[in-house]
Amino acid sequence: MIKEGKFGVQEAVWLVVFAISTKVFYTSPARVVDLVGNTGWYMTLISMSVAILGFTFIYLLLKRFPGQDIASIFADTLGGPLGFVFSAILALYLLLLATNTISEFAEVIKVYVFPLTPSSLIIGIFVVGVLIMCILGLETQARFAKLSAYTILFGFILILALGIENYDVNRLFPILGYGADKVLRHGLIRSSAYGEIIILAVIAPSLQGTAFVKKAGYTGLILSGFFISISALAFALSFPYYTAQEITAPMYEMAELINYGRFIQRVEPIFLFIWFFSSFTSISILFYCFISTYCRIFKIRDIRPIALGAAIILFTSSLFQIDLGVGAAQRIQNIRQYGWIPPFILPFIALVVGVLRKRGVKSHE
Amino acid sequence: MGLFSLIKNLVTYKGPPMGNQFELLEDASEKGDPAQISKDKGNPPQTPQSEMGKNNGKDDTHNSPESKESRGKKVPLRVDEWNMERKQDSAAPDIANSREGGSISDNLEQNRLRIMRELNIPTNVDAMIRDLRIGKSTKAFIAYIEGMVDRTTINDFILRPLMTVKHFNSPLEECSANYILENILSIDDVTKASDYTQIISQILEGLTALFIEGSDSCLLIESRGFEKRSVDQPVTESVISGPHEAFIEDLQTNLSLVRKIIKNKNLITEILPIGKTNNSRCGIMYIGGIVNTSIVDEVKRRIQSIDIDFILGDGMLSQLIEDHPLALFPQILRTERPDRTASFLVEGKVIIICDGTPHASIVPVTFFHMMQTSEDSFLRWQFGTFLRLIRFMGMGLAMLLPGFYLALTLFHHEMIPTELILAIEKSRENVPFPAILEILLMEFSFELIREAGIRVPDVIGQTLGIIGALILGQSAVAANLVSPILVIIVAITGLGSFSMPNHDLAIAIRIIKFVFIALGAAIGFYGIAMGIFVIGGFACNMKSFGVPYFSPVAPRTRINLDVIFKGPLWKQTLRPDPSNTLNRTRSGDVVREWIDTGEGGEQE
Amino acid sequence: MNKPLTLIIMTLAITFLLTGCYDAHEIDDITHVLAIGIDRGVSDKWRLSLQFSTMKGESGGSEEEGNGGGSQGDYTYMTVDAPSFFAGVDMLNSSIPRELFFSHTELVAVSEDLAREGLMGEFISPLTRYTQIRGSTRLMVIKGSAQDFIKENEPYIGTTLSKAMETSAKESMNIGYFGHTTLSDFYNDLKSTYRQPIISIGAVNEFKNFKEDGPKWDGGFEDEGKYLAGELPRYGQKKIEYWGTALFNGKKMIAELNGSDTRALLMVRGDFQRGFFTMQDPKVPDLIIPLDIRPDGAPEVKMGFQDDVPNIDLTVPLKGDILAIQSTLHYEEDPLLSLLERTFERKIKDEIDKLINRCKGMGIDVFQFGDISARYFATIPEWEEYNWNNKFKDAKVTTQVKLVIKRAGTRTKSSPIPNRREGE
Repeated sequence: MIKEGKFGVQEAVWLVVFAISTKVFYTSPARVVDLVGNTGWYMTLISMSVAILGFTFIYLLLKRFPGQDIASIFADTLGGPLGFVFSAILALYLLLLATNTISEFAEVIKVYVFPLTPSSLIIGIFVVGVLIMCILGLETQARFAKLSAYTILFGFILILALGIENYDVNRLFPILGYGADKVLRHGLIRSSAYGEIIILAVIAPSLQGTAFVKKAGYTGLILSGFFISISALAFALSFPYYTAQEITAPMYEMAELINYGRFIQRVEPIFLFIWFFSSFTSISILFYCFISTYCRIFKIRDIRPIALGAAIILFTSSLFQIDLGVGAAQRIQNIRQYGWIPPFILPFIALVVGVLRKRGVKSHE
Repeated sequence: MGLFSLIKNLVTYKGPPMGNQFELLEDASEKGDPAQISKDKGNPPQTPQSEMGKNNGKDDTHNSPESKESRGKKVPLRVDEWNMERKQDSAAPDIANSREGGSISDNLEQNRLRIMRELNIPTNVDAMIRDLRIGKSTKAFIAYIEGMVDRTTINDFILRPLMTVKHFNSPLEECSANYILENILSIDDVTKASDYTQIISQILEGLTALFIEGSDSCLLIESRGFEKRSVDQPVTESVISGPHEAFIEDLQTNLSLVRKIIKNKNLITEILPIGKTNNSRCGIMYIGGIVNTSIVDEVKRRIQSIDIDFILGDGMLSQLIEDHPLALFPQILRTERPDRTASFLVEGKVIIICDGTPHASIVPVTFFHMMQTSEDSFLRWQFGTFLRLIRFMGMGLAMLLPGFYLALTLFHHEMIPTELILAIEKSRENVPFPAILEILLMEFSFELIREAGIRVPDVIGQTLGIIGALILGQSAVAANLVSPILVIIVAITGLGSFSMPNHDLAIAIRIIKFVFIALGAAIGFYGIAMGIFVIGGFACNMKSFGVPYFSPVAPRTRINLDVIFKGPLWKQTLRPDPSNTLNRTRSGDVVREWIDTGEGGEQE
Repeated sequence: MNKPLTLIIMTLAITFLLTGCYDAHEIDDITHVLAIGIDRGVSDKWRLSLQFSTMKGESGGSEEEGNGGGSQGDYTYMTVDAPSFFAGVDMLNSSIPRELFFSHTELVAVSEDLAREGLMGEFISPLTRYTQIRGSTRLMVIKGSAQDFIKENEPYIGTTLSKAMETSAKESMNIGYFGHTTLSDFYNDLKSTYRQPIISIGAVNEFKNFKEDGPKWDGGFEDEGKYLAGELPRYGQKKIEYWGTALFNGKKMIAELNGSDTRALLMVRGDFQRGFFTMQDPKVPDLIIPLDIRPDGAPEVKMGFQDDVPNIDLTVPLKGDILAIQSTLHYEEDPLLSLLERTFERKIKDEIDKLINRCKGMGIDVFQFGDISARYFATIPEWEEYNWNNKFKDAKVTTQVKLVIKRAGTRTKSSPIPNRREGE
């Protein structure tokens, strides 16, 4: 059907990691501090565990239908109309993720780097880049993600390592933050932060077998959890909880504080590159998955005819988010709270129905 | 109208997609291989125990069937015939090579007229026909192209034996072509031919054709002796350590230079004709048993399907056979070094050498091949790695530095050290231009110097580069046209672009540099990042003869440590995976068997 | 399929060139503010002084100048009374021909009376919110007027002011008589439930303490750290000096520490890097022994709670070298060496104890004890309930200083100076 090409586990892992962990560069960490204090670094591990559980259902579902993508699985298990609704919700969810991330990106970048540049230009450039990447195809995105992963990883670790002089272990205490119950509750809800794992179900046909999906999914989740956790940790070490929750983009301000001698200071523009690349890659794959799911719902054989239209939707909806005014980021965070439902609950329902209706390949056991 | 259709093209979708692109797919045995799954995780690659399992052919199971069919050879258009027909009534001599075909007759006079017509003899003064009588009796003539033949060969080894009477005892019987071939001509390469097409093309190649009265075939005698350059030092790819031999313009010499290095019976050379008018040839070399045959087939298919009148050499040929002609990055590597060519052959690549240019084209190649020199493997691995890193840095500087400078000075002032930014501010105090104009001015003058430096005669050329750059920079600063720091920026950019070993890639980078200047000036690091993203995306999308441009990094494949970092030579036990060679290992498990590890092999 | 793509890229490029450059600032259209001074204003609430380069120095291209460029007139400042920081910036920009930029600002100088009035909070919050001003900018309290300080803020060595400011900030690591506080440090401490903020002090020394004539000194030994900022008895060229620390209770400055107290404070906080100390010779009180003291690891703080009252056990490990022994007694080896060590330990312990008691009296924890005590609380609500800043004044602090003399310098012993006159 859609020519998507094939790629390996590593590429898939990096796609997942970028899609999930780009959030740490935006307002999320500060919002987490607002909710649970200085405990974000292990709260996210709880979220990750929940997400791993959720992904297990996705994986089991994919295993019953090897070589199929999530939209066709929905259609297969739930029947045409219901499957259509499920896939549509999923597509909408992916579009919403992409939109939210772009508007958050644009908001933050406007605050810190380009205060005068109109958001339409920032988002416009972004969407054009994403559109080109989508037309170039999934395989290309996967390869680029792999290629840029090395540099991004290097820069990311560098920023964290250079921040060491500002770290203070005492800032991790009181260890339970605003209370264990809050940590647990928000940990569960915040599993939505890992909802992007659903892209694996969309791009599953491009991976060579369900074993690869499993591998890519678990590795990707654990790696993302690790990255989010260490950046939250670094953030908690750099800022006490009462100022941390005030900051718009914590990672950026962390980079701002780096100061070694007269030369290694004010290095945050370099940090921008990490930020940009991971955002580009993340949105590209989310947007691609949206188009891909959409095409599958309506049985369109090629994504390119609708790519431009979809890009315009992405552009306007992101701009709309921004134009709502101050606090767009806050609003996005609130929406995020319910973000765990589509990626984890829908496949679970499909799995249960599939088992009951005895659809798909039985597991070997 | 033009604008309207342009906009229409932008917003409308036009199928059908690039479905039948040539792809080099992995073996069927590979993709299901559970060992590979673990390998992808980063485990050390296992060396296959034997070559047996790897040779089970290509199985394009997941390739769409229609793409396979469309890969069939395209029948060349018979343009020549069409030309003939069109030009028959015109009185002007047919310049285009006319391949009428047909065999020669046993009537010598008829043959003579035919040859005269084919070679436009009275008009064309280069084509020569010399009449003679073999052994004073049988009429004959030889035809050749003056300048393409070696006069000594014709005089001493063709004419003299033929005209010596004592060689022919009973002339009438023994003047057959066979007799002359076997007894008279003391020349190594003599063939019988009767097809006019072949005879004419061979005469044009520099052979001498001997026509004999009463014989229905002629003898094609090897007598090539045109002027050619002797083997010289490489001009653009000079190295410090390693051989100093370069290809020349003669195909035969070039092939022999490669064969001199690889003395292997499986080194196969195929000659394909290219260029309908100039009747040139190109040689394809590969090592059977190593190369993936589908690459060879694809190369041959592409070259054979070319329908063009004139191909001067591989520069033109590669434009016609590359996968993405619109992309900036070169997808075919050209080298003038036989040793480098040989090393690519051993890696399982296909070499295309055209008659007439001192280069070999290598397919398929990746981006990382473009950044390697032959010196890398001659030097110890530490040095090789260092040099390679310098080169990558040079490339980064050549591509990004001016854009970065603009982004920094226009958008991200905080990153420049305070002292430096104050110095720049002071130095720009009297400069009237905006930074972008300043940098474009300098970049263009630098490109100008570079281009002019190639054109001017050698003697001046050497000095022009240095003097021109120095004086230009100095006086531009003195005249307050540019700020001093800019001269440094432009100079480093220029140096960076010279550090790239591949000339084609260097030009691509120089063009991309201007894109980044525009992006950096327009929206700073954001623009530059977006530029890298999009250009990187296009580059990742590219394939060179089915091999992804950024393999083996993206997509990741099993490799030796020989991409950016260069590992020790004895660790390089694998052939590059992306080109799907038939024989993956290039050495035994233990390369240096003299090291007695006692624990079965030094690897890992 | 490549054609539309190429067109998209071209359109994109055109869009860039037509619409981009919103945030572009040609480097010679702007001027970078290097230091900001804030006083209480007369005509309006704040008096804002901005210091920047005049760009009059040697411009790299021209070759006319011979003296290496950069006279003292390279930097200048302007002052305005304004209702807010941003209003002041815009008001100044009406006369400064270039746009003011703050991303290279090295120093924010706040006058003492402003700090003592408790206006810090009001003033600091717009600065931290403004993107151009960096969290790592240095913050200082200036005795006297910040405007005067800015006026005297010139590079006396070298030609670049930014370098001069950075290197003198780095001097705090060498002497320990003043600390290094940044905007973000202060902001974090200001809002802190753990501790109270401190800021290092700068001052303009009018050389009044330097007496050219008068009876020569014949008093006993006095510690050099006793001076307050701006009172060092020195003379010559650069008038500004960094010395001492301002202690805050919340947003209000309530005390000033002299040099010795600053050193003690930094030692407890673990920020002390190095300093020359002068101590009285334990055997010959007229003479002195200078020591080069460095920390021997971070200070250890142990905590305990008795009926909600914190019990703090503080150990400050130090190491040092002997710089001179005037008495020529054999302090290099043990009986005298440990005497030396113990005496110095006692001296430092006294200073620290005095300082801690003083702070307890004021009810401010500037020692970061609160950071440690937070470990004993499970959740933030519990911690905030406990209200450390109130409890600190009842805390029991036990101090211990440990000094190890590592080296005796280039002399392993010093033989006595024979008294010639007696021998004759």
